[in-house]
Amino acid sequence: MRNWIRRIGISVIFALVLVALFAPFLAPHDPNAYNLGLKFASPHAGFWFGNDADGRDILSRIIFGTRVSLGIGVAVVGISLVAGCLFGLVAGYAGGWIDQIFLFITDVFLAFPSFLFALAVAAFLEPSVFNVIIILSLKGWVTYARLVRGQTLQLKQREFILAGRAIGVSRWRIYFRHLLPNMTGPIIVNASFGMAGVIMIESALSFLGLGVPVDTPSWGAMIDQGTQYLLVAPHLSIFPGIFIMLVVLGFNFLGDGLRDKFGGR
Amino acid sequence: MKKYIFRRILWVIPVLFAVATIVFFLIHIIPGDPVDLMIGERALPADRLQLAHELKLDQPVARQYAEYLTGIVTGDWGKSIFDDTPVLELIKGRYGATLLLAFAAMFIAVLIAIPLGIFAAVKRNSVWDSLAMLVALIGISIPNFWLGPVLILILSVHFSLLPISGRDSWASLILPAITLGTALAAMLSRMTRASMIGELKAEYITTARAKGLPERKIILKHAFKNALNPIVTIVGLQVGTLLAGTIITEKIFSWPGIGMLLIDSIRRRDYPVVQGCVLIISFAYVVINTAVDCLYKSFDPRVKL
Repeated sequence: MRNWIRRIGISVIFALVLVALFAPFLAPHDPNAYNLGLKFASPHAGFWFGNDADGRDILSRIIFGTRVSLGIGVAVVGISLVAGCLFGLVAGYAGGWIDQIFLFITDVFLAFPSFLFALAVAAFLEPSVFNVIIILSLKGWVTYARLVRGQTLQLKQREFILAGRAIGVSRWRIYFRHLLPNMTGPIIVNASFGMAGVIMIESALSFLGLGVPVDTPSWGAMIDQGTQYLLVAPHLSIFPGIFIMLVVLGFNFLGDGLRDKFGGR
Repeated sequence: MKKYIFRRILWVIPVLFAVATIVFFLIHIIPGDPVDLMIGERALPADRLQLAHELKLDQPVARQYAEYLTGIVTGDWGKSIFDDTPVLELIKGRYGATLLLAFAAMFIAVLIAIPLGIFAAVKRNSVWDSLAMLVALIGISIPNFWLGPVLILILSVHFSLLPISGRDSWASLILPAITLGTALAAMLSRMTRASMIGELKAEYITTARAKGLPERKIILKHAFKNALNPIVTIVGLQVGTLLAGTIITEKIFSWPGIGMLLIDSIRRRDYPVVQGCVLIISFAYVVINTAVDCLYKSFDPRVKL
């Protein structure tokens, strides 16, 4: 069963990555083509998920929306991972006052609930993909940094690290050749759950009109438009919601399966 | 023990201070002139100067910062640009609704999660266990800004069972509470299951079985009682997260709490109110988390400090 969960997770994510990569070939219509004659049209042949308030094809917008969600997810988790690993390794390995400052800074970031922090910063900036990536990475690194610091604290007492230091292996080599490879399991598990979290927050921001710019096909923004016409045309928000759920579920499944395999969190 | 709590409180003060500092600098990350954004570039120069003066933006940053910090401590959190009401007064009028929603969501979550978690743990590795945990994973993955509208569509529009939005009666609390509580219920049932499985493996359970106690009693009186501690901790730590979660739920259901105030103020570019709302939610989050942490450590004799 557990193995199955991991496999389902991987399959869903793999399928969505393919959709994102080949979006221009898969989308039946131009995602931004207005067709006012088909305003609010229910799902019908040629437009399988129906049309939105401007007559745009919902299926095509969802397909291109995969790029926005997964793209932002990969960028944010990537930036957060690199920064988090670096800070976590340095703080954990150095200890002392460097570690104390690190703990204080991370505690300050952890004092904001993730969504509130993203919302607070986004409220003062213009909506753009670049800003969303920066906003989410600004707090995203903290989780990985704390994780890596904890692992480093444990590992640095082990004989192979002490031996490495004794024969004069350089600090950076110890970081990246000896410490980091021994903590990939928990990091990957966290990255998988992290993707789910980032995609969820990005959609929530876009739902509030604070994420990606209005015309970018984003699942969250599509739900927002849909809720305005919930009674007339419920399909506007139903379909993008299903896709958010699918991708978040995929990464949660994957994280769950990986956790059983590697342990951690 | 006392020493630990004292140290925790001493640590929290600079954290709150730093949180306030970040919230202060938010208004300074606006590209260009914040006054332009708030009242528009075509406003009269006199109005612009007055607003800049009221927001103290015409003073040096260091002085603004000092006055801002003093204001937070003395209860002067600034005034709304929109209608001149003091920010703290606006928050006072709203926090009750937010707390009510958060606790209702928590109540619903506990009501669903604990029986589901115990059931899954008792039937461990069966089809029922897998099914229960599958439902829980789906629950975690549903965005609440989608669940809310779908619930409205089904329960309010289609079956006309519950009010669509607002806060007119107790019935209007049900849908927002379910929307907000679902993810928590899902998480909590996974925690309950894990904690129960740990306890059910313990030796005192084998002893209880050997004594011939009825299974029901073993599960509820022995195992569950001991499994409760981590569950209570998670519930406590989630209060803060729920406070942040109310933002979207309140927007969907027009629930008149701090979250809706925050969203409305972002729309109106009423930045002093935005800063106040962010500040109050993060303060509550930090204080609640610290309190839960201290309580947990003082309740469980196994936790050594």
